[in-house]
Amino acid sequence: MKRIVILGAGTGGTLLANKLVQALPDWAVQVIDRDDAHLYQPGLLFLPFGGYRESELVRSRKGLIDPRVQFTVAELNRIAPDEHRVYLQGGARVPYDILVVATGSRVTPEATQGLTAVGWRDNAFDFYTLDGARALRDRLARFDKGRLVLNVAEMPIKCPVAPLEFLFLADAYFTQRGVRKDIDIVYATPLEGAFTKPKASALLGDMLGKRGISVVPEFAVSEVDGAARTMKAFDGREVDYDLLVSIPLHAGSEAIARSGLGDVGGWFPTDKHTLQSRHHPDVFAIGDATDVPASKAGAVAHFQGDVLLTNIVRHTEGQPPLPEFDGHANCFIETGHGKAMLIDFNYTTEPLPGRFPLPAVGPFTLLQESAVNHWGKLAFKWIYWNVLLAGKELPLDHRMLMAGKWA
Amino acid sequence: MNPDTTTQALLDRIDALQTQVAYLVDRQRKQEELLADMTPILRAALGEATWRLDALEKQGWFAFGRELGAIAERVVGHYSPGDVRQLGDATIAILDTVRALTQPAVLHIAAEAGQVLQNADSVEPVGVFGMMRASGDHDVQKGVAVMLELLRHLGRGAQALAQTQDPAALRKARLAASLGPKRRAAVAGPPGSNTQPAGCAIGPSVPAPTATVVDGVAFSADGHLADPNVWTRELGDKLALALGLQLDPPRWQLVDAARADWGQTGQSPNVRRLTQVTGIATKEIYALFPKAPGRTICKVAGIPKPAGCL
Repeated sequence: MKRIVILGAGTGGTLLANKLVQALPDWAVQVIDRDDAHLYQPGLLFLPFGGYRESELVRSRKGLIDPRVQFTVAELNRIAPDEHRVYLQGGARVPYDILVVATGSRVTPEATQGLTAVGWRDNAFDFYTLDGARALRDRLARFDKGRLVLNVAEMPIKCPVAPLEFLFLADAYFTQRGVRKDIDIVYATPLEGAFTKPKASALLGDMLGKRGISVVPEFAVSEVDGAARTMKAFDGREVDYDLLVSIPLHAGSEAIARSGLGDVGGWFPTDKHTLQSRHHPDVFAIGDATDVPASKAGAVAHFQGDVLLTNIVRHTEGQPPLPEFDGHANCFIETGHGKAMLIDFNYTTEPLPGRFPLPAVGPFTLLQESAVNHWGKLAFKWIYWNVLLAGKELPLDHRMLMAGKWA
Repeated sequence: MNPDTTTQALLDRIDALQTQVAYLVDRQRKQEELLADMTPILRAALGEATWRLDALEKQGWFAFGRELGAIAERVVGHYSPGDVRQLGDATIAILDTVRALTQPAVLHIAAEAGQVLQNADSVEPVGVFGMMRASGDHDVQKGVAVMLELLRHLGRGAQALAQTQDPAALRKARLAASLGPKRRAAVAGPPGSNTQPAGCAIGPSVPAPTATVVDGVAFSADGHLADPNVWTRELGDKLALALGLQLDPPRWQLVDAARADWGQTGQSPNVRRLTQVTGIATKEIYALFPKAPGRTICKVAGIPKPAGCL
């Protein structure tokens, strides 16, 4: 029996395993992950503001994967594509005929000088980990005056709109608590503006301005001094803070780095349209682990899953992969006070206003705040656990459509 | 209690439960079947609806609808429910008037009058003697008779109106008429409300960056060389000068490294990558190219903006 091995049981790995085991009944499918805890990462955004209970955000990975898939808990050592083998910590070897790299991304706060030294988890936090989000929640509850600085260390990061959502939610949270007037909110970003795409950037920048949130653009942080509560940039600029919320430098899996397969950030070299490895035809990649110039987000992994299923099945039949992936991403952007925006874009089309998914009907509004979008974001948790991860069909096209967009 | 009776009761209970469980399992199976069958149908239906609605939107139906909505909103804001009720009561009278005014003969007269008005500038002014001369004309005589009849009707109508309305109500009506525009302003939505046309949703308008050509060299919208292959070292010097930079050997090392890396990997390097391939520390790179070094180096090297700016 031929064997597909998937490294990682996050969003991409889980949904792809569930799809493949259906589509290729004659193949053995194995998924390897270092633990059995699947985290609903979109929930980390709400946790600091008391939005979700922790128990809602974590489930057993095994429970989310089809019982026909072999699920193994083990730490990866390295990938050896020339041997068609994966080495696990402790020396065990796993052979494969087709390998899918779904190792995701991780935050490395220790990579920024001084960030994890004095004041870490006291006046400096991240919220991209469960520990960090929990600690930040407790600190935010006691924060009622001073300057809150949100800093993105460097792009790429998971969910590029999360920093903006955090700022909007913080503004709403402090307003609700009646302490907003005593708190400065500052966004120090390495980007030229609020977001990466011009039209959305102008709009979102305007929304930050209206909420009295100031932006420090092109701020490439070089070091953090937790004792003096100051952040320094490579160009010499300094930003003081009372509370620092950092979105630390992201990196790909250490196993990819150990195997000498990643680029400088540890991202896996992947064809941006076929999702096949650029060097090894029997290796494919999905989600955050790749170096494709798309957002690192669950929606992207989901749309990639459809393309990858087709291409892996074609590969088993000896056919070349199709260049079907277009960089499609869509994200809800929480804007506070029970509203949200939605953006839908790909490699070549930036976010545009309009309606989604049905032109003129919606119900979601693109690049415009609405309560319906917020409900959509809340309802998404059930869809994530029960439909998306199960690899079931969603009535959405994996390609980005221009229908409904006002170009 | 007799143990046999207890066992029997338990068995009966299990029997009953079994039926219930079988029912639940069956219902569950039906639901799953329904979901499995309906999902592709829903997907197809949504796809179809997407394209149909898109076609309607492209034809401009929804933009038209939005504008109609805006007009309706203005009408709603300008007229009170009482006004609309009166309008309803007067519908027959209005239709009668419209019918009378749109009889072919009447329309013909109106069209001719329109012609006269259009050519009004070529008509010579007429004095008292001219009037006297014209009064001999049969057509003018007929016209004067019609005008007098019209005046008589107008006068009669005005008198009747004055009798039915008390002076206070008249004054109020006049006041309301003069305040009309203000009332209308109050109902126009705030900027960015749903009644705005599509293009306004983007917020402050930013001039869209466009591709340019300078001295015969083409640049893309973001200011990077459009075609990296036309780059020469002389052009690199010029590009740097345009950014206020003089390329000395350490700066050249970074520019050359960026170009070489781009040639090798097909991707423009960011600062981290440059640090890795040149061994030059990030701080030093910032000292050499103080403002946005990654983008600046790639710009000077004539290669696209580095990724990671996603």
